[in-house]
Amino acid sequence: MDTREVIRRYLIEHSATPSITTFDEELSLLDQGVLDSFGLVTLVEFLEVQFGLQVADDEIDAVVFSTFHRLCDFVERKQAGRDVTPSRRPTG
Amino acid sequence: MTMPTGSPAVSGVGHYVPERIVTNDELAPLLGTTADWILHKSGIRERRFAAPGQTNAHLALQASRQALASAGLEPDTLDMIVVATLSPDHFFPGVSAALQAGLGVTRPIPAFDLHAQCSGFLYGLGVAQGFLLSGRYAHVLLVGSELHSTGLDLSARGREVSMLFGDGAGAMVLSQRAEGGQRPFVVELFADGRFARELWMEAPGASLPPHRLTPEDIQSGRCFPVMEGKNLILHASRKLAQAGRAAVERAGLTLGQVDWIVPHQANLHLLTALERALGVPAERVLKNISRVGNTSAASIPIALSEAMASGKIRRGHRILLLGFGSGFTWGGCLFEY
Repeated sequence: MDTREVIRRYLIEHSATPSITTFDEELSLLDQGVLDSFGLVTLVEFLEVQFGLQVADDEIDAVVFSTFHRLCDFVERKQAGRDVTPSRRPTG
Repeated sequence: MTMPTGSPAVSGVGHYVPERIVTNDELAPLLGTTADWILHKSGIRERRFAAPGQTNAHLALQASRQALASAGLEPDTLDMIVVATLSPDHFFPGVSAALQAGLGVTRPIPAFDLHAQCSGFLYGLGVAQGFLLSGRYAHVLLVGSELHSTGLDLSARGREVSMLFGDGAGAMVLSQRAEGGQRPFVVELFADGRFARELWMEAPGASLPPHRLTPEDIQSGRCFPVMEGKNLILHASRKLAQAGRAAVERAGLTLGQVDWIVPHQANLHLLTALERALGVPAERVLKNISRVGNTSAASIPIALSEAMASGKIRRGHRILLLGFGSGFTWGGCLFEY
């Protein structure tokens, strides 16, 4: 099973809304009720274990986890060893 | 790593929450939502709001009097007062000044506010420990006190933040332990300023000329706290677990040897995530967020004081305190009561 299919199945099986059997890949997973804030935490734990990734603090960004497409892109970039650090707003 | 010598003792605790209970049913219409939505998103059923005219210093004073009584000490035996708060009554002087006067302390002991947001009480423990270990001071009063209700955006725009916060204060008297008394007391503190705007309040501020607060700041909501909530829980659960493990390891203990974990009561979902991250049973993690909401720097000492008053936490128990907040700041404290 490829990466995207593994993630899709996980999201449906652990959906914050039990009745969900499918979702729009371009829309917000939170808005669709697929994820809630606690689900976000367990999703990151799952990705780290399932794909052997280490998600660094710098890489934690709600945009990354907003849609299925962005999420899969993040995982695939991590697997390819590419930079996934989001640009952060200046704090000065 | 060896244990620090002359570990401080917790000689008294106290807390105070205002009488007025604000339920989700009362708050929800103001926030353009439902009571169930608030409960589902936060685990909070009600919080306390101060009465009109009641100040942060007043909350701190009630909690401090209780802590002093519990320690069996008079105010003039104190050597230092530290107040952790992000909601001071005024820019200056701090809540600590009013508290010192309110307690009737006549000695010119140092009194100051400490600004480390929801981790403020943890930072205060580090400060108190340092002064007690120096041998210079025998008794330090540490207070976490917040008056949030006067600074919340009680509209649909602010509901993600405003549903969380309540008012209250918790206090602790820390004392030098009698000679020969050695117990674990470890404080681990952290900060990462790159995340300062993930949870912050822009105005009023000295960086905003000409008058630090304009009508536009109020109109636009810049005078209210805002947060990137979806990020926060990820950061907070990981950092709280990191701080907890660091404190326990430095004390030469394991998490299995800790009797109670008292985390900052930010959101029930965060507390659940923390239990998973630490791998500890839910029964060992104290939670009062459903009754008092998020009281920032006051949340840890309020939960601690409640549990000590009820007899749940007893002398000899090992306690792990964990805090995370704006900054980001975070930390842990492992001590034996």
